[in-house]
Amino acid sequence: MTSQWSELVDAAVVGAGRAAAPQPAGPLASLRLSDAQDGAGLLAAAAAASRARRAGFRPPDMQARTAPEPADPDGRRTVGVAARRRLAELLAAGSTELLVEWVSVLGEGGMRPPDAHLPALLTAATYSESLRDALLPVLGPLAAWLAAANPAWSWAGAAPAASGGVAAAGPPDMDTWTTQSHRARRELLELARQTDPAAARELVAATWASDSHRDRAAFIAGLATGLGPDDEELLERAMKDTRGEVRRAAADLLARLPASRFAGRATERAASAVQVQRAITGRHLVVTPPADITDEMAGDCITGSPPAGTGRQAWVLQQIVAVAPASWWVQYAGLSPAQLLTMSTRTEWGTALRAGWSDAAIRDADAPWLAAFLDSPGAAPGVSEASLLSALPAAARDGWLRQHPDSVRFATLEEIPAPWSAALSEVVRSKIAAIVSADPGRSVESRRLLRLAALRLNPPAIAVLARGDEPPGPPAVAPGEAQIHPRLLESWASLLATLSVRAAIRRELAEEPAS
Amino acid sequence: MQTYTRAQVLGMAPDAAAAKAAPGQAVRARWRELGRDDDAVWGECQGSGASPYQCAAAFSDGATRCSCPSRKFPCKHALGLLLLLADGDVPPATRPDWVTEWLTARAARAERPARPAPAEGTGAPADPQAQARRAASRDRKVDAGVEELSRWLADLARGGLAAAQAQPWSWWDQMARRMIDAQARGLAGYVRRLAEIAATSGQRPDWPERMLDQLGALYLLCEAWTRRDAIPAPTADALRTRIGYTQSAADVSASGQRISDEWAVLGHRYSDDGQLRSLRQWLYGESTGTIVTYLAFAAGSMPLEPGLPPGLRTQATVVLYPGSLPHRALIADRADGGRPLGPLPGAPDWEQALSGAADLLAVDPWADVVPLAVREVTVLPPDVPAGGIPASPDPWQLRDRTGRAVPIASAPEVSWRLHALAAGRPIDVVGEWDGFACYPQAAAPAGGEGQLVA
Repeated sequence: MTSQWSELVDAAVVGAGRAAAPQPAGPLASLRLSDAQDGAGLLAAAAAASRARRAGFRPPDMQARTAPEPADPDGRRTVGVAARRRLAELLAAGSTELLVEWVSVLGEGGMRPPDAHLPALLTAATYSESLRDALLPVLGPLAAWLAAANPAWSWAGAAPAASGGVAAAGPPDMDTWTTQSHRARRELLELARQTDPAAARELVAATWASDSHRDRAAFIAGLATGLGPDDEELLERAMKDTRGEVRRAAADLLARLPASRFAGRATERAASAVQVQRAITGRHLVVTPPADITDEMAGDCITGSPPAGTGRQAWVLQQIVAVAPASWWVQYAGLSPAQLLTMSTRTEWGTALRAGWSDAAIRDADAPWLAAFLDSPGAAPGVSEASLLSALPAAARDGWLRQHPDSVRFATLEEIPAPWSAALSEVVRSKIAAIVSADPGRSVESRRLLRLAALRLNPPAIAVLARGDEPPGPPAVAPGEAQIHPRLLESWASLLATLSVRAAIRRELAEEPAS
Repeated sequence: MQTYTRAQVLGMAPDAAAAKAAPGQAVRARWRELGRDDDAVWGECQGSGASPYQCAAAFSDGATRCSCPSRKFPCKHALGLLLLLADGDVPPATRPDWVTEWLTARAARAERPARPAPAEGTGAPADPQAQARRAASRDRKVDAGVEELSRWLADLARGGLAAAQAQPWSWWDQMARRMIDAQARGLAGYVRRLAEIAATSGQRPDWPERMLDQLGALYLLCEAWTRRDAIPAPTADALRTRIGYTQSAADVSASGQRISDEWAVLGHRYSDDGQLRSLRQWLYGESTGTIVTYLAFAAGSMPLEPGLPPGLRTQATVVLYPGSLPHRALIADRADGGRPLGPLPGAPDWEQALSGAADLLAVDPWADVVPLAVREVTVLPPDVPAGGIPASPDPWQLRDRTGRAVPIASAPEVSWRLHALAAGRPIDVVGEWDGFACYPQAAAPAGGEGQLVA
């Protein structure tokens, strides 16, 4: 039958005018189709043979093709129908921020992504770094299995060894560590430092001699997670590296270890450059920048080449001040950061001192220093309120913002990643309540703020804000519909829509699967 | 009062942009005077303009109206309104005058065509002689069309498929239009499909087979029409449907066969070519084992009837259209809500699944797209032999327990979805079969709960 059909197709391609159509044989012969050797004859044969082909179709034998080995089973439970449908909607709409949130909530629940949607998630994450970062910790053996079959997803191949679910995270074995890509190794290190910093450090040390300088610099920077006194030895080793970027990465971390030899050298230098003297007029700072850079200073990454607009001595002083731990200054001088800032205005080296202190404060996330800088705006030139705030520990930052509602701005909030604390959400919510009812003189700023808040306000704030949407009765916090300024109505509506989707994401993922 | 699910409402969207914009409208702060009663839902929506838009939807047929300037039906405001309704956010209220006026005007328009047939009240059909004359006149037009098409087909076959494939679109389109003039929309559809095969021949190496298959079916249709009096009833019904004779939904619901069951939606395909939106669903009756297809079309301002909720099973009564197989059905009556899909139906291997398709062909030889359900098949990803790019790698395939395999012709995303769902283990699959390849619609880990995959 099959060969008859293909003979007929061949005849049809050239046309009945040029080739005689083969007449059906076998059972079809009894139909006595038109014997005219013309178009109609060919068509009659095609009619009979095409129907016969369909009715008698047998798929070809494909036992020879090899099927892939099954993926390792994944013991984690998966999600219910509603959550699955939500994921499909978010994927179709390409809403990366909401996908990140969906995946994060999934991971918090210790669940695995729905199998059938994993390819679409992997494809979306291939083009979005933020989604990839969120997705990697929740990937299991199925992702590795798929990644092995599709080179575009090879970045997902390393994940299961590191995660296999959040709880199972631990240091990868040496084989995995040595064979993965640069990016995958950085991710493995990050995960391993979170659970077992010592074992993770051993991995870095084991391949130190053979890794490229790019790897070495990235791995040293990766030790910032779970940094402790035990890391000093490896960091000192990195300080002798031939490459500047490796040394700088190590110096940055050593400065954060107050008991380290590096910090000891740094405070000695700082103490000799800056002294507190008592005079009849009160205490004041005596600043004597070193005349030149010693070998020891050069070894600790202090350079003599200032950025444009800064003098050489001021630059050296700034670095000397900056590498000493921020908290050391308070002990050393017996003065508060605010007092030190005030005194600095009375020396000719004030700008360099404050630049150094602000560097140290941000690096060490030193709350008293950061608060002092926030309270004296402009004290450190070129240091924005947003960068000071984002270095501040969350509780202190949120408290400061509560007292300074004028600083609750898009530029500041943008630096604070989701999820926001309940306290911060509360502060932002009050701010929103204030701006949506008033004439938003800066409506671009307000619209951006609303959009940001839509994605980052945390769940309790969602509930209260959403209630503000309900007429009648006095609105809980936010104004009722009538009070929303028309220029912000569109943004307000999309804020509420986004918040309700986020609430639904949590609700649906909290539901048990249907079975 | 009519209830919708969010998915159903979004399924009514005329295009992706409207579906995306709709949730932003479904926010109570935007709306005033929201209300509903047994016949309609309404509200005033604050848009970008100064005055709010008056927006309403009627439950009888899903029609909507909105005073906004959008030319989409339903517009994003109407979709937003229906989403609010789906979320239970619209309170019962007394209908305002503008809604009553709209509903009354619609009712008047709907009745007008019925007015010329006052004889109906007497129980006798309206002027049977006139009806017979009209039917005979249409048959004569179709006769002429079929004759013209037969000659054109014979010419095509004489010149050869290679020559036909090189013809411009207008050559096919002209013949398709002639068939529409002859009131044979079905024949026009065949010609358009032939044109499509010609146009996409570059991507399908098997185009001559597909084209000859369609030519054979079309020729059989023409031949059967000329001998229609000698053809037994069920096949004659199929013939008339395939030619393009349609039955009104009202006639079907009055006289068609009714089946009540829990219907699982095992396929859901929405398409929009800019002029016509269409929806095709495959419905599987869990206790009767019947498979029917639900089709809905909407042009311009018409709302698209949403069918049953995709990916769920819902208690409903469907009415079968006589004619082509598998039966087209309309949904007469449905319960609210639905349960997630259970295990999928299926034959143990391809051969048995395909023999079901052969049974359909025995009655309706033009049944070219049929559902196939098979259990425990293995997904075979494309083979790319090491050390070189083959001319045509083996495509994605589904291999059954006996080792026989059919190709998958869906978009690659669908195949990857199946692959991930299977993870190298057997799965149950329900899909469309077009005589050459399979287009999976629903799948489940063997014996597990089904889900839509296309």
